Amino acid sequence: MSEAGKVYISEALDFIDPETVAEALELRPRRNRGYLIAAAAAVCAFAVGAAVWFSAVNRTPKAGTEMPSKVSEISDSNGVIAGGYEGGAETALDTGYLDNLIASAELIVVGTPGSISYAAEDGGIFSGEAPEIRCTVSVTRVLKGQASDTVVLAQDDNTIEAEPFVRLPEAGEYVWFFGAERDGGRELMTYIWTKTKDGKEDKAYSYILSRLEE
Amino acid sequence: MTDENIISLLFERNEEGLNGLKERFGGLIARVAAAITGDPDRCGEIENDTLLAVWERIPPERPDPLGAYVCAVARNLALKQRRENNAQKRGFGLDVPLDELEGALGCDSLSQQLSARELGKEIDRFLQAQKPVDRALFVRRYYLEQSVGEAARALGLRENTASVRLLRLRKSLAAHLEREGYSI
Repeated sequence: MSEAGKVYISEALDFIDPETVAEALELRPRRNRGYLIAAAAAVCAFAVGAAVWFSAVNRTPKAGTEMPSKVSEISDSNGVIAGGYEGGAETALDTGYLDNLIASAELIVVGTPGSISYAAEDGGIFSGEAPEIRCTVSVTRVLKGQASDTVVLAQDDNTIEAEPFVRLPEAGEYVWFFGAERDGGRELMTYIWTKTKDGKEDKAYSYILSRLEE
Repeated sequence: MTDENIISLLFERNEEGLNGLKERFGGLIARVAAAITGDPDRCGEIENDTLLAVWERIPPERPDPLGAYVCAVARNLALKQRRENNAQKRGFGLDVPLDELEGALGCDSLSQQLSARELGKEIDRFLQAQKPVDRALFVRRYYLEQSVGEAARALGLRENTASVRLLRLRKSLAAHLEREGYSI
């Protein structure tokens, strides 16, 4: 590496706003902020998030596809899990909700590379690489020991690339969207439930995209 | 006391200017020093050295903004001390963080296009658009030159997670600079 380049970088860093530095020093660890509080907030957000979602897409669930009232009820759903937004999947893992969800035979996790890799590292359920541009992670071990196929996909610029890294949901499948941890480190966790309409690009994905692009 | 008041007092060689500096930036200097050296006991020493250095440099210098200037003086004093300590302990100095950034940005080319001050402003703008945890991670790694492990622990992240985030931040910063019209 060029010595002059390092001097140049070091001098440039001297011009970082001290407020930025002060804020960085004040930021407290993300963890240890109350597992139970996060879980309780998640449960509350579940209902609110679903309501917001349904009103947003103006969709009424069909008979037999009502939103489960308990997390355990979705454990045997043919689930597509969309862990969107950085930290979303991680948060979902933290709360243990995936324990119940992962029972599905196929698991699709949608998220930014960061989201997936954090989940991979923090949750310990994924193995594989989480490269910067795309990540394809195979689930080889899930929390309860069940193997599952997974396709994960994402682009680093917050757009989702559907092929060939992700299988779009089929009609009748559930899509679970875990998100999101927003700026400020607040854990705004919303569980969004929807059902795909025609098995192709659907509002669920549009919604995920819009969330990712926010 | 405003920056201008402090600088005026320093120009008059009035020690009230030093008091103003200490009151305004003393806490930040101490925290920067502690974060870099990892030794709270040295904070007072670095704070005093920083105030003395600022006293000796102003005048003739008239820094704007004063806060960044004072912070930079403290940073550099603390880094110097840390490098000396590392050199004593291990026989070499550590500047891996700067290697990482230099590698990502290709600074030889960049330095032909914008001054260090301008690059600093661009970095700051870039950081403002990042999530707080990423901003803090960047600052800890590259401004405070903490090890990835230290920075990760301070933020409650795993080391691997922090490494991934830092890699993405470096790439994002390079992309930001390219969007701003600079060639990397």
